[in-house]
Amino acid sequence: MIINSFYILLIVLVFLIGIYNFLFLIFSQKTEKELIIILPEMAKKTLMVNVGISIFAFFIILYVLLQRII
Amino acid sequence: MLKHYQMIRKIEEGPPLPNGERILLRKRQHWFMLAIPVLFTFIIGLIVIVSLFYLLVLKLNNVSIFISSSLVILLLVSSIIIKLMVDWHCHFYILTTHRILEVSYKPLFSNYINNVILNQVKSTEIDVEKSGLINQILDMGNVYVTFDRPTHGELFSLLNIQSPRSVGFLMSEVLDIEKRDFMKTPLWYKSDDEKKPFRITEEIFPGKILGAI
Repeated sequence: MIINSFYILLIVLVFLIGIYNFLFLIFSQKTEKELIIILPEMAKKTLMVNVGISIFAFFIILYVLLQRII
Repeated sequence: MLKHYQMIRKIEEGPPLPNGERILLRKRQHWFMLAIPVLFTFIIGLIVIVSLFYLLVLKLNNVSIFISSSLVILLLVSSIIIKLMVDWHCHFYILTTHRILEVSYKPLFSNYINNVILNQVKSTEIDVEKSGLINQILDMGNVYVTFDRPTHGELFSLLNIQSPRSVGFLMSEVLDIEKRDFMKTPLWYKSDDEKKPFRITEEIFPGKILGAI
């Protein structure tokens, strides 16, 4: 039961981090348009990778949790 | 977009903007201000992962939950580091022939732009501060520009920048150029007279020039 709760907590965290990274990416691109600077390419790529990993981790953890429950 | 060659320190090198305004200085905070929180976040993340390894793998013998939680910790750490980097990158000071700007953009959180138009104010004081061992070693410090009453005695601060002394000199030069008609050269930097480059020496030691000052 405790392990399952921990998995649920992880899913919630991954979901929130994914949403945050996605919003941060959008707002960073908005900032680029408003300011006379370019954000580091590495930062943008890392944000995209983070969003991708968040989606991947969300489904993996969900799969493991469902396996445990069922 | 601001090109690399526009990130300059010397006067007269920036390309003119449409209204004849030239960028004289563009400066971010010292890299040390970014390195410390990034390192701290990294170390905290590492400690948490090691603790989880001890608790989940060695004690509970559950590898899958350790991998899942490590993934979440890594995501969290990388998100925090990216935020720190972007915040540092989007916080900078620009000095042009017409204005001083402080821009601080924190995407998703806050925006702040402080624009002081130089021909509307009179600078009364430029203070350069470099205190502490690390600041001395890294040549990091603050420059404070104080303006007069029309701006309600506003204090414009350039915090934790590299080479605060040279920035202070440059700002004095720019502000002096703007107000050449009624502002004398400050005591603490070179005068316009090449034969007597240091006013302080001619006042304290008449007829002598101390190269060290």
